[in-house]
Amino acid sequence: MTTTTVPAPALAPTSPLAQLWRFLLVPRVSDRDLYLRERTIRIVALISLLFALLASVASLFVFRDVFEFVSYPSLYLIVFLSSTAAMVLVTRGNLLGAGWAVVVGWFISTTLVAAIDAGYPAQIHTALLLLSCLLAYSVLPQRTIWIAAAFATLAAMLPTLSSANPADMFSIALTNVTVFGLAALFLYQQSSESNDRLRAVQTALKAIEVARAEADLANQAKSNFLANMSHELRTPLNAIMGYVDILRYGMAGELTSTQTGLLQDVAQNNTRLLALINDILDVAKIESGTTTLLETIADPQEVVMRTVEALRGLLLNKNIELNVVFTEDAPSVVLMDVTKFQQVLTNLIGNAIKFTEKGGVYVTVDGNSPDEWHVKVRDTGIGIPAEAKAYIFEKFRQVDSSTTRVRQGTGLGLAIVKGLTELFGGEITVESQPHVGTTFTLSLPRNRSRIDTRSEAHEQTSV
Amino acid sequence: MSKPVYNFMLIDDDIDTQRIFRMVVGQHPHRLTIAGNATEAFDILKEEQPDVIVIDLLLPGLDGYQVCERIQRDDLAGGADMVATTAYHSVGTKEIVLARGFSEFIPKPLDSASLVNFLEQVARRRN
Repeated sequence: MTTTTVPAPALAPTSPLAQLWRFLLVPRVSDRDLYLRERTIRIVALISLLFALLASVASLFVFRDVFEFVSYPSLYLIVFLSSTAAMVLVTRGNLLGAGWAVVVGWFISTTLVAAIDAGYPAQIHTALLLLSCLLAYSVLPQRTIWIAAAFATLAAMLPTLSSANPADMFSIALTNVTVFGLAALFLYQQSSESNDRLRAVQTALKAIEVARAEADLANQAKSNFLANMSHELRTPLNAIMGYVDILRYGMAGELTSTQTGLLQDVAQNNTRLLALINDILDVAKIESGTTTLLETIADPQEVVMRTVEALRGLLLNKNIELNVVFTEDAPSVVLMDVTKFQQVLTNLIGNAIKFTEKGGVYVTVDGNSPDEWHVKVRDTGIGIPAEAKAYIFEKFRQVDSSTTRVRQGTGLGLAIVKGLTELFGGEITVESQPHVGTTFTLSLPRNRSRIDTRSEAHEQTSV
Repeated sequence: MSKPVYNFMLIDDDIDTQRIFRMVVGQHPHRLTIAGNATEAFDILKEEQPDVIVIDLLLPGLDGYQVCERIQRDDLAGGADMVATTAYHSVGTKEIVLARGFSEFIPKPLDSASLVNFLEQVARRRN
C-alpha cells in the first residue's frame, strides 16, 4: 500500500463558516486510503445529521395526531443524535465508532418506523439505510457489510409485508431490489479492486522470492569459485616454498648471511600468503555451507588443556602468563568436532597472546547452565574500542591497522571463529575495555540428549 | 657414517615437487626414484624395492588412493610404508588417508628441513 501524503490546505480559512466547514469535513489522516474513508464518513454523517434535523423540524408541522407528533420527531432525533455522535467520533479519530454510530442510528430508526406505520414510504428509509451500509463498508470488515445490507433490505421489506395493496407491494419490492442490487454491484467492484491489489502484492512477493533465489545461487557460485581459486593458488606457492627452502638451507650452495636473510623474508611472506589462502578457503566453505562437522565424544577439559599447551610456544619473549581454570560445573563429556573446536580456541588464544604485553591470558571453562557450557578467553591486553566491537567479526576487518601492523593477521580469523562457532550451534560474544583487556565468551550447546543416545564412543585420533 | 641408507620413491606428476624432492633427498646418500603416474610407478616397482613411497593423492589416471590400494593388494612393493601427500588438505585429511591404507600423511608445502628426517623415521619403523 503506497501512502501519499495529502497536500496541506492552501490558505488558512478566514470566515467562521469556512472554519466550521473545514473542521467538519477535512480529514486529518495523511494515509490516502484512510483519507478517503474518513471523508466519506464525515460527509454521510453530516448529511444524516442535517436530514434528521430538517425532518424532525418539518414533521412537527405535519403530524396527524398526538402519536405522530411525538413519534416521528423522536425517530429523527435518534438519527440526529447518532449522526452527531458519529461526527464527534470522527473528529477524535475513531472512524470505526463513527461508522457504527450512523449505521445503528438508521437501523433503529427504520425498524421502529416499519413497526409503527405500515403506510410510511419505506423507500426513503431503504435508500438511506443502504447509504449508511455503503458508508459502513468503508470502516467495517467486508464480511459485516453483507450482513448489514441483508438486514437493511429485511427492515425495509417489513412495511411491504403489511401493505394490502399488491401494486404498492410490487413497487416497494422493486425499489428495494434495485437499490440492493446497486449496492451489491458497488461492493463487488470494491472487493475486486482489493483483489487486484492483493494480486499485485503477491506478484511482487514472488518476484522478491525469485530475486533471492538468484542471489543465493550467485553467492554459492562465488564461494565455489573462491574455493577453486584457493586450490589453484596453492600449487605454485608450494613450489616457491620448496625452492626457497632449498636455497636458504644451503642445499644449492653456500649463501652469505645477507642472502639467507633475504630468503628468510621471502619464506615468511610465502607463509603468510598460504595462511591467507587457507583462511579464505575456510571462509568460503563456511559461507557456502559445505563445512561438515566430525563430531565425537570428547572431554572438553582435556581438549582445552591440549590446545593451551600447544600454544605455550607463543609465550617466548613475552612476559605474560597463560592459565586455564575449570570450574566445578565444567562438563567432562561433550559431543564436539575436536579439530574445529581447537581451531577456534587456537585463534582466540593466539590473538589474546598477540595483543597482550603485560599481565596474561586466562582461559576459563564453566558449565553453569543446563543447556550450554562456556569457554572464556580473557586477556589484559590493549583491548578493543567500542566502535570496533561491531565489526571485528567481519571479514578482513582489523582494529586500527596502524597499530597492528606489527601483529599481522589475515583479518579473517575472527570471521572464521564466528562462522565455526555458529556451526557448532553456539554463539560468541566479546567484551572489552581499551587498555584494560578483552574477554571473548564462547557459549556452546551441551547436546545432552545426543550424548545419551550414542551407542559407542569414538577414540580421538591424535593429530 | 653408520647411518642406514634407505630407498625412497616418489609418485607425483608435479615437476616442482619432483625437483625439490630430488634436491632435498640428494643431500643425503639415500636412493630416490621418481614416477609421474601410476603406470610408470608400477613399472619401476618391478625393479625397485623402496622402503618408503610418497604418493601424491592427485595423479593423472589412477589417483593416489587407487595406487596405494593396488600396491598393497598385489604386494608390489614388499610391504613398503606409504605416505600420502597433497596440497589440498584440510582438517581431517590425515584421518581419511590413514583409513585408506596409508601409514602416514605429510601436507604440502613440504618442509624441506624436516623431510628427510621424517622419511628416515618412517623407514626406521619398518625394521
